[in-house]
Amino acid sequence: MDAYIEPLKALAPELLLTAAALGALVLDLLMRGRDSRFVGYFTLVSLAIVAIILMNRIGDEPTAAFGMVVVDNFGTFFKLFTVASLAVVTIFVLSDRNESHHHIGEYYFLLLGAAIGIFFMVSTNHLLLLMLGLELLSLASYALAGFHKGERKSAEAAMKYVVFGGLSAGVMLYGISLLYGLTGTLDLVEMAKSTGEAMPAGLAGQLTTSAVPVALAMVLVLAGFAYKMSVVPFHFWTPDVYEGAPTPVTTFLAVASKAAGVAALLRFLGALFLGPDVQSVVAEYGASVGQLLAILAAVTMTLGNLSAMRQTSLKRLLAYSSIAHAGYILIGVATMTGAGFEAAMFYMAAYYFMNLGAFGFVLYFEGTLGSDSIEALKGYGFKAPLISIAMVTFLVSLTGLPPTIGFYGKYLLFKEGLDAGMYWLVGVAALNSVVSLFYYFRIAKMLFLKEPASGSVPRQPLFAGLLAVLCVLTIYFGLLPDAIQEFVRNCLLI
Amino acid sequence: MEQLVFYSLGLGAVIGALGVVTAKNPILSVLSLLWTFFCLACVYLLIGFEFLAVAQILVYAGAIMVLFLFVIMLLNLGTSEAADFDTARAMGRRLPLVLLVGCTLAALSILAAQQVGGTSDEARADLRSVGSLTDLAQVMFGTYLLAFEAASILLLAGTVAVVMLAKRERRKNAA
Amino acid sequence: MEHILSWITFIPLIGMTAIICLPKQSVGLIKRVSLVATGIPLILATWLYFQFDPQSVAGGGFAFEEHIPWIKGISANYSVGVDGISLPLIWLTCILLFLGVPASFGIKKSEKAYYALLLLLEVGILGVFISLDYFLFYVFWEIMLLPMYFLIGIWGGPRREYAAIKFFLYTLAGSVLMLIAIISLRLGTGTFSIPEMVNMAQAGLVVGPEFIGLDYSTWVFWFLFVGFAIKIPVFPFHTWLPDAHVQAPTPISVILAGILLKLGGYGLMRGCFPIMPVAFQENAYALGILGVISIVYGSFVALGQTDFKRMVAYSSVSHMGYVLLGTGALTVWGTDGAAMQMFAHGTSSAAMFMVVGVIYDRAHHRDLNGFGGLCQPMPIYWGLTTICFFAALGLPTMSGFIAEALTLLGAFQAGDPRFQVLVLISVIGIVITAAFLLWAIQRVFFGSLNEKYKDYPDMTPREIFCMAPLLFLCLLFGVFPHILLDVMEPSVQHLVTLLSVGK
Repeated sequence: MDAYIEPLKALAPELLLTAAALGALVLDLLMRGRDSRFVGYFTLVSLAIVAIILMNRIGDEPTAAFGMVVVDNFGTFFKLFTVASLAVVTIFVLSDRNESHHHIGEYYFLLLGAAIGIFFMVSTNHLLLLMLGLELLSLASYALAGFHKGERKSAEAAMKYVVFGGLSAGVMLYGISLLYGLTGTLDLVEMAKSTGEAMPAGLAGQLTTSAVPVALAMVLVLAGFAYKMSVVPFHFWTPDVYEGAPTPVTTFLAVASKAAGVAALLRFLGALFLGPDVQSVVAEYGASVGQLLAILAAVTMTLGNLSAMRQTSLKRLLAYSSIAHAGYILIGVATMTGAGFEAAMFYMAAYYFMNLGAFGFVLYFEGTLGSDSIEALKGYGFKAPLISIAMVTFLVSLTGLPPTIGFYGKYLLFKEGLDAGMYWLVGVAALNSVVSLFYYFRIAKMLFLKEPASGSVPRQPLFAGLLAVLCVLTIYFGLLPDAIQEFVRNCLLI
Repeated sequence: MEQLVFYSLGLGAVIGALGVVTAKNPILSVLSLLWTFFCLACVYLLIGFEFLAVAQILVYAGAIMVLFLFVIMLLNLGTSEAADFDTARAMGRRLPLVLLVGCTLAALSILAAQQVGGTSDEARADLRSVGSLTDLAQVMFGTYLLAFEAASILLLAGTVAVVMLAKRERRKNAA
Repeated sequence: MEHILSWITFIPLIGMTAIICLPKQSVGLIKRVSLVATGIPLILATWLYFQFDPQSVAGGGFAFEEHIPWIKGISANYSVGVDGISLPLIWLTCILLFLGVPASFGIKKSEKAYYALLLLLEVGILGVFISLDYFLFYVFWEIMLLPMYFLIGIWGGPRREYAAIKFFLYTLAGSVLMLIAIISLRLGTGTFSIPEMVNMAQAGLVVGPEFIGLDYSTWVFWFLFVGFAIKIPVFPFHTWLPDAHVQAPTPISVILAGILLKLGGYGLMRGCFPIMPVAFQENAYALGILGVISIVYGSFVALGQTDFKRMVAYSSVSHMGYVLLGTGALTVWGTDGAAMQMFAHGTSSAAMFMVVGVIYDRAHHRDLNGFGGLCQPMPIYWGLTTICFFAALGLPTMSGFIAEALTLLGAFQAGDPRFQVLVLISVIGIVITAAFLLWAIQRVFFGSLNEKYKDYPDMTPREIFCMAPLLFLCLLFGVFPHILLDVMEPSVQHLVTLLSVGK
């Protein structure tokens, strides 16, 4: 019996989340006909409890459960990230003016369900569980993207998301099956350390005879991650889905879902190529995977930034910007070093503050003006100065200028890129920063440089307060990033 | 011989899958899907997973597909529904791209398959041992218990998502 | 007074916080707070200027240093200090920002935001001048951009949006090159401390990989150079300057010309040349050529302008060329001249933009050909403008003369015939500068008086108060240049020694 109880303890956060998800569903039924806000508060409280459990785990020795789940600091970092972003997203849902707050218990259930998927994704070395987690996240996301099914854009977004998601999941599954066929195991650590003496050949054995099958499998599996992170050429869904989905869902997709993709990718690469028992020929192969990622990074950020310049909808613009940021993050991943991974993780933390802030602004302004076109922003800064100043701070951070956390994150990425000798890549990234300034500051221009149209903006003091807090943190951690960096260092994979 | 059967079954499955997306009539789509499942079941049989093959036929082809057909016929979704969206034309425009991607993938797979450092019969036998029912249960509720449970959450989420999508839309701000 | 540099730098930040907390209706109070928040640093900086012992930094080193660990993760420190090159510029900054406040009293649109941004700008500028840590330097360098963007963009002229984003994009393009170079230096030297990097450079220890086909010192040198040169601005990176100047409101033009351009020159002397001395020596002649092109090209283009402000803007391009020529010559006189030119141009060009501002406030246009005979209704204005223009064209007894003379003498003295040719060419620039300035005076003040302008009031006491101190400084340092040179000399000499390593 104990053999089952101990691992269950290790799974406490997952179990709690599951209970919370079911609870949300039941609660909504019990609240029949009344305000669903209560379910939102319930979600927030459960998230807080999960967060406390997770916080207490930081620094513990890694343990394994059921032979599939690894409970380590790396996973805990991304779980905390997910919980923290979900909490903000829940607040977004609660303050969304476009949302009827009746009978939307499923909203919270699906958000929590997606979180469970992420939890599995980030804490496993086993490709089967990884795939299941990914599917759970995807499935919940499809439904969330189409939550306003009466609206054409939302329905279309969900449809596109399903088609692209199904395709990339299939491709990834194919890749995984190839890996399984080559190595006879789905466990990444096993895969990396198998010498290839036993049959099947194993990764090392296969690489010594021919790298082609491994390369094919790699590319296919990476496609699955690329889809979650919206890396070119698997980014086509991003702008449409971001635009069509309800803004809180967009926020979730842009922050938590993308982070899950990054985390899974880091763990995949880390376990396969950078672990302690990795065969040397496999580790060498990792370097060429790094080269591929570097190319993807350059293409992704350039395409994302160039496309963002032409957008007229704020949400689409942020969608392309999030594609570009996926490219920046890939710089850290492409270095294939522990320090590079650390930089990528730090950048995710930076990304959390600035993107939640930016999408929060979108939600605020969409709720007050009923449109998300950049034109409609004219002179908004004089009508709602507090959140507009906050938005400018987020834009500065997204561009990567001091004194914000985005700058420090970018600094770390550039540094690791240069340290790994990828000068050309950092050069491309630097030029991209300049390009991104152009479109980010188009928003700032609309906010403050244009004369305001008449009419006033209704106030939402609590929500504005949340944005103000994010803004202050963006600057505070930009000037004193040590706290976050230390935290990230405690949660490294390698 | 085995090779020949395998490839023809594979080809059959692909053609069936193409039929699912190109057919104008939903009933035809469902029947194509049925055919695909059947081919896959045969593939399972061919590599020695008897139980999976039977389950595939029973559950997918037998139960689920019949339900599909039932729903479609009950709701009387004839060709009329699809009339405003010419699938064939839409497919036609994208056909070159689809073919390109498909053929590249196929070619790469074949190329890769030729270069796989041989798997011994011993290893194959090892993999096949999962074929029996007891072994399957052992694997499902032992080794992969967690994955099994995760899959159950996945199914629950799927159910809720479908209920949510199917339920009548309430007007916004109907306070 | 242990943390005096920090106080000078961050008092404006306190002022900014205070202004943000004030209600936006109490404009009078906001102005007074701004005056205090810029006045106190000015008093402290003046005290510092006379407290500073130039000999204490003769062999390198810095005065009033502070070192506090800042970001442990990358071992960046908050280390600040001044030497003879940065101190006069700090003083100049405090003077111009203080004068910039009353000069802004004419602005009537969202005053609260305006003064808050102005103070933030001062923090950024002073921060750059005091930083001895490259990371800190870069942070301050970038902090400056944001207030500048909004100051031009919100309170500027009709094409302000274009000018603001152009300024921002140009500077950022330079900054990212700089950032790559800085990171690469950090990787190569293991420190962010500028003095340590300089020491390692003396020992030839700053090494790293090559990039875009250039060896390490060359590409790092040019990346840093371009970053700073855009700010100066050196031909061919100058095209943002006329737009930014013309569209910016008068006080912002004053600060832009007076101080922001100096940041480029200062950055070269602090963070580029001494860290890459060998690359500097190899490319010194190219720098000289760029300097001379700026001098001559700037003056010719200025000659062709009919927009008063545009003319003054191009004259800045011309004047800042001396900084490059003087440093490139690698002589004590030349570098002295360059350092002095930065101060001299800081005062004279600031005054010139105020001159333009005065007439623009009355006529609401800046067409040089549209004025005429203004010496009759506005005699004080005429007098001050004339002094100001004489200072700018380098008349003896004015600080500009000393600076330009030193620069040219130093370049001539370098003993390199190629530099002597450059000096001869740059003389063309001096002549043309004199020509367009005198011609401008003639067009504005002499000739037949346009009836429209007959009733123009002369300069108000506020305007005189803003301009007179600058002209006084031009005269003071023209007659007693040693007040400035004594402070600069030891540091400049040290800089030249650093740059001549291995020569």
